[in-house]
Amino acid sequence: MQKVSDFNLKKWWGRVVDEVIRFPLYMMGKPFKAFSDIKYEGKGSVPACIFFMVMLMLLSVMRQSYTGTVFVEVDPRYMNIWMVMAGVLMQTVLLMVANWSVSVLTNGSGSLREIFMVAMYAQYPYMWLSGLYLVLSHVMTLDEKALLTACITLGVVCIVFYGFIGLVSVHGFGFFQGIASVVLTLIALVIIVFVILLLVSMAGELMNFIRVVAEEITLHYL
Amino acid sequence: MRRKIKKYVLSLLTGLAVLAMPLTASAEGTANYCFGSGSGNRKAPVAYEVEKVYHAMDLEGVEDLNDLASMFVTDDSVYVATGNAILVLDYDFNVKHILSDYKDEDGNDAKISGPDGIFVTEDGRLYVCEPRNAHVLVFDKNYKLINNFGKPAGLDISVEYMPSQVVVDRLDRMYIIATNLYEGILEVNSENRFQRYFGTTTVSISAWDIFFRAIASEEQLNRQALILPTEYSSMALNEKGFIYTTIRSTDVENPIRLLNVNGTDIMPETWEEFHPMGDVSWAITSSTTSEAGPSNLSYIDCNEHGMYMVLDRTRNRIFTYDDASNLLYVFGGSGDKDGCFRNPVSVRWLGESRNVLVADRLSRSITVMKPTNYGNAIFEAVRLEAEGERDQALLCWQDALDMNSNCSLAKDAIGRALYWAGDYEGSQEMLKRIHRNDYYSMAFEKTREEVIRAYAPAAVIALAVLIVAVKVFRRVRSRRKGGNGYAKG
Repeated sequence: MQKVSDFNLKKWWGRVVDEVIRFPLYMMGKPFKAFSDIKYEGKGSVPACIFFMVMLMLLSVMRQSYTGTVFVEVDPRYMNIWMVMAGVLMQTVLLMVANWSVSVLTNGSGSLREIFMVAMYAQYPYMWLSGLYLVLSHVMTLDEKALLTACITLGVVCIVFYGFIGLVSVHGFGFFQGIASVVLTLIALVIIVFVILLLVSMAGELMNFIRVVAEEITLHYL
Repeated sequence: MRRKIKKYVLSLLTGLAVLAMPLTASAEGTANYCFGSGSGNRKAPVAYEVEKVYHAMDLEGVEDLNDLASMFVTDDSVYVATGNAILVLDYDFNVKHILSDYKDEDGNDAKISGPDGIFVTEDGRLYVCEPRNAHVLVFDKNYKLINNFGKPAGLDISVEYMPSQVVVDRLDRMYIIATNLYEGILEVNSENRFQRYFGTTTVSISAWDIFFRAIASEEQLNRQALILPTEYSSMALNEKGFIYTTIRSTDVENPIRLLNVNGTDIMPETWEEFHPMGDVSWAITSSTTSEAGPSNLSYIDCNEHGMYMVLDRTRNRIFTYDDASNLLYVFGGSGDKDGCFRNPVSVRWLGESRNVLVADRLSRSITVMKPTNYGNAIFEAVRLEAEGERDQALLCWQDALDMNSNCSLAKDAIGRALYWAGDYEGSQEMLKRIHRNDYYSMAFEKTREEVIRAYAPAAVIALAVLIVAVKVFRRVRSRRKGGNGYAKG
């Protein structure tokens, strides 16, 4: 446990800059090296990744509520902040779990922690680009929409590119193995969602049943 | 394509939202609503109210109004087709003539029986469709039979010929809708010779249908509904010679069509690429009433200002649109009270006056509806816009907006006018809430230009000053540290 007196602001700030800016930039330049560094040299940090996660959630909310008027797609009056944030969180968690479960079956060597970090670092460029999108949407007109579309498309391409490299290096897969694992991940995702929906609806039925029984009893005996 | 998908998702969502809400709207009679800014329907002030309801006893010499079929309005008369007569009334509903008996071409006595669509040309000739007798009768100004057009020569069909609606253009060509004829509208020349099918539409079959029909058994196929092209339900001729039509089928994308001489649909979409189609959101199922599903459009009328109104048989509502396919107002509804209808069959504008006639077959009455202040403001605005009086129209739109702050049409019109008048900020303010993005974007471009023009010189100077300041600061600091300021550059 670090004592308060030992806290060195300058040192702390240096670490923050290292982890939030320097390492991700290094990752973007040399993805293979950086992801194997994460795996074998303990580079990268989970707190930074959690920070990215929070930022992504905030950005998705801001995309819906603070996009410039010209580019608004969803009426912000009818937005539910918590649902939007939960949506981002859920899709990340689901993808991680799906990928991890597939990797366990296919002898991939990545841990859940590493998969999480890959997912977050892969979204790092996307994070900045959506920030850029937010700012630009306030100064662009409809004629210049192509620029904004390009912005987001580039972000998505980056996610796919770095995400794939990250998964391949973390699990120690080859190219085709990687492709196969991605496909399997998607299938696993569908199964997981199906099971969750099934559970939810069954829980609902059960609750309903209990409620009805309770009602009957109260009407009968009380 | 993406827009399309978004559109479908949106309509699906609104459909679901409507499902979730209790169905109160159907009990409200003449309630009006407008399509809000992307978020379902909003209540609007009543646009039309009842002036008078005419029954048979209000019309001198008329025995009954049984089996009302259709109406037609000319410059001075109202023609009403009932089960056994054509009534000719003036605008105050005084009976001018009752046409029930006539001499046919052989000089024998004949009676009007079961007429459906009627049409009156500018020189006063009256065309009457009698589907059960398979002919179209033509009467002159004095209600003497001129022609009895049977099945057009050269028309080769396997079903019985049942003409139900007719319009006649300036060259005396007849456009006839015949029941159970799916090829399109019949174009027939003045000698009753069949020319061509007009406004023919092709059937679209989805991939799923093809797949299903490939694997389905004989019995399953017999149970399936036939895939047939669309059947037209009514026509109205505008003064330019274009034909407004409605389509009975509820699963087409564009149930209201404006056909040019070529027979192609030139109905404009709204700027959001919506087709006019009556209600845009509806309950998919409804346990309390039969009022589920999309609008079933059965009658159309147009006027000289480019407006047209359609009758929806699903919910007995009447929708009025302007020439850019914007919904102006809705009135009617199912019910027994005045202003609601039980089985409306025909709607017509009463000539130059803004009153609307609605014929109801079940309650055997003709209702005259007159516009309220709100309806009048919108009508007047559209009329003035059609005549190019944009400044005047703006005042009317402002009136409408004062009466209904949700009136996105008025906001749209005012916002666009402000843009063209050069008030870009005012325009943005108007257009922001209704998400009229294209004009908003144009107005925004102008205000952005102003901002850039105002601050660009200052920004450039500030940047230059900052660069110089940083350089000077660095040089001073490095000199203080004892180094040579020029060595680092």
